[in-house]
Amino acid sequence: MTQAIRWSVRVGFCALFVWAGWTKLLDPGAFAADISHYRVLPEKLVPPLAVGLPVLECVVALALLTRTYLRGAAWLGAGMLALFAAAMAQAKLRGIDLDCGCFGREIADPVSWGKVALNGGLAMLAAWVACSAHDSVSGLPEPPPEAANRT
Amino acid sequence: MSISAQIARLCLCALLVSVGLAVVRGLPSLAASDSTSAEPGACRAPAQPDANSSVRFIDQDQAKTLVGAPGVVFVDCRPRAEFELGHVSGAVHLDPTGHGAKDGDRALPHAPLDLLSRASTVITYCDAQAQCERSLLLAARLREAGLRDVRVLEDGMPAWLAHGYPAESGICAQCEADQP
Repeated sequence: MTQAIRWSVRVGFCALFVWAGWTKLLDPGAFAADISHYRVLPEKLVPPLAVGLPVLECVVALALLTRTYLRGAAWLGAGMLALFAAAMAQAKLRGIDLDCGCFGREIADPVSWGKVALNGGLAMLAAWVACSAHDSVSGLPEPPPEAANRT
Repeated sequence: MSISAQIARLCLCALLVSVGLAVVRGLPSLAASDSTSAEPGACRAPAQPDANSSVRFIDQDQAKTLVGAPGVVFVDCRPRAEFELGHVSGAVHLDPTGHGAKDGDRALPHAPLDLLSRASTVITYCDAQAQCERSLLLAARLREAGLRDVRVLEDGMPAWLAHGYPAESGICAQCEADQP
């Protein structure tokens, strides 16, 4: 049961990160503007980040479906989501009214405390995937099917 | 493989792809991307105005000729302390981010709105930092509220002062009246 839930969550995260990364890659200029509106990074860092972050999202999405890189991808995803939540929280606290830029400009998505909480919750879910994957991926190998049938 | 090794490999993979993309497509330009700005960090009308955009800009020289004109109201969107230090002569104060403590509360105070609804032209301005978001935000909200002619002052208050155009300072009496 837990396996099924974990697999569903992995596929869900994969879809989420691919969607988020792909929409940003289609219009990196718009994403660069969205990043600059958060007013946390020097302007010189914004263009490379506008290209690198969506690529990292796509890489994490694909790695979440593999066995070898699952834990690393889940922790990376959790870290990114926590970072997004922190960026949105500081914008709210400073009274900056802006679109989050989470899925490009096709979707108007204003930053709100609800969105901060959502990203925080997703970060915890990704961390759970990373922790729960520990047993099945790096722990003892699963018994072969015939051995399981004998018992 | 350890978690740190996995993360390092994934980051390296993303880095290589990003560099490849940057080489092929080039890095994005902030100037070309922001529909409300002609250059990074500036508060200017876009070089190619978006036909769907309801935001209109007004340049400093044009705005100066409208100071004191009947039916024209300048609205200072900066924090109250900055307004009191110096603002366009006759401007009213209305900070679109300073009202409504609750999240999602987009209400604007009634007193300035009543005044603005009687104006023929409203010109919003701020400190012109980061694409003059406050002026754009307020202009958009005033348009939503039904005001027809709302403009955003290009380059905002810093350029106004640099030009030596009419300005005044003093306590915001109307802010006191707006306090609940």
